Amino acid sequence: MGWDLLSALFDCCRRKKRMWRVFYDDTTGRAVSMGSVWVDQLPPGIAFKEYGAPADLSAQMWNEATRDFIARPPKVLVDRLQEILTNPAYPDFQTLWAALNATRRQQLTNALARLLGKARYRSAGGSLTIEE
Amino acid sequence: MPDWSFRGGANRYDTMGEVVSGSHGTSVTSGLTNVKGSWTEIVASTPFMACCFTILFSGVTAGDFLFDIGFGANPNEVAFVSNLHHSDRQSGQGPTSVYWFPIPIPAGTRVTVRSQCQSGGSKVGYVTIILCEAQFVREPALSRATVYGAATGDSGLVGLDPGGTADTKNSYSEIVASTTYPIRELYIVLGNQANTARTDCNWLIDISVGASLSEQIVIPDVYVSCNAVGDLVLPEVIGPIPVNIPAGSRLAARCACSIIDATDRLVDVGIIGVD
Repeated sequence: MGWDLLSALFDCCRRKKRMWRVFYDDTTGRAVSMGSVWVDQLPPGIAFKEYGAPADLSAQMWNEATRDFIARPPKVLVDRLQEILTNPAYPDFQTLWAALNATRRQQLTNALARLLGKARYRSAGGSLTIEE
Repeated sequence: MPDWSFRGGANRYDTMGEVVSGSHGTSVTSGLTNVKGSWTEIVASTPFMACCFTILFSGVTAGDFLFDIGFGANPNEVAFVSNLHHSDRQSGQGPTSVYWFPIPIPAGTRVTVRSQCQSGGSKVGYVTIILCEAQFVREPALSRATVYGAATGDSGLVGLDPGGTADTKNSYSEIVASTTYPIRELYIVLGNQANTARTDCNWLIDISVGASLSEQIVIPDVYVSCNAVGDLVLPEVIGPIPVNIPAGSRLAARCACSIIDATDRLVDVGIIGVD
């Protein structure tokens, strides 16, 4: 019976260790560490939240205000072909565009889209100019 | 007076798997999305005893790859190392991942490779292996490579989030709760998370050992970067770095990034331990 009790306690501890925790600063909410193995004594000022499995950080992000994970905002891609039509750095192109009819605009768009390939879309933090 | 150093190779090298027509490596086709394909032979029989080898992998198509190196005759190949990572640029054929392993391969070994890819099924990669012959007796040979942090569900690694404050180290992410074997040589592997359009930025990454809230930095401030043209986090592999990490250790990593874009600041990290 003593051995059964010890075995049960061991299994309990082992099961607890398989949980996944996010440790955060209790004052700011800033995450400090995430994982399934942690120290026994928490440092002062550190709290935690426990989950059944690790978060997918590509889809979720830690929110300091709510002390929980929230959906990561979707990546915003900017279409350079649309951007060049309104960017004040390209007035000549916009003048040219204004002089085209719908058919010619579509032809030009198709050609530029093929030319640019992947470079047609940029990250929101990037620049309109395709840089080397 | 002859120069017979105990260090160094025997000045005998050979590359296995090269394909002259096209100047590339042997074509290895992945299975279904995120599923390993069949083994592809790189060399039927290695010509000499190699003290170490280098494997080079390049994706012909865009995406994140995980690939295995196998030894043995068909159909009894055994994975010698599983889930080596490679990220390829989203527009197609890009840089080559280079893994150098200080691990001997006996003469007469059949070497194979298989792969999986996150961006779809039947994606092709090119593989070559460079063998180096030993000269004299080298330091005790290492014999095993273990990949920690591979995520086979998306052919990626462990995600690191540097958080919403630029240039500030954020939370540790766990690479592995407990290393299976000791680590004598360590590699840091970076993944691109299949990001189709990155922003110019830099990261500084800490590699640490220890339980959550008691992580001890082993390798501080590993510098990696990417640009909006190449859309790849580079370098993809750093190492080997001599370390001495016992089996049963928790590995973790954290990073700082020069930008705060919620997607582009992310980077994948894995660790390879050789013992």
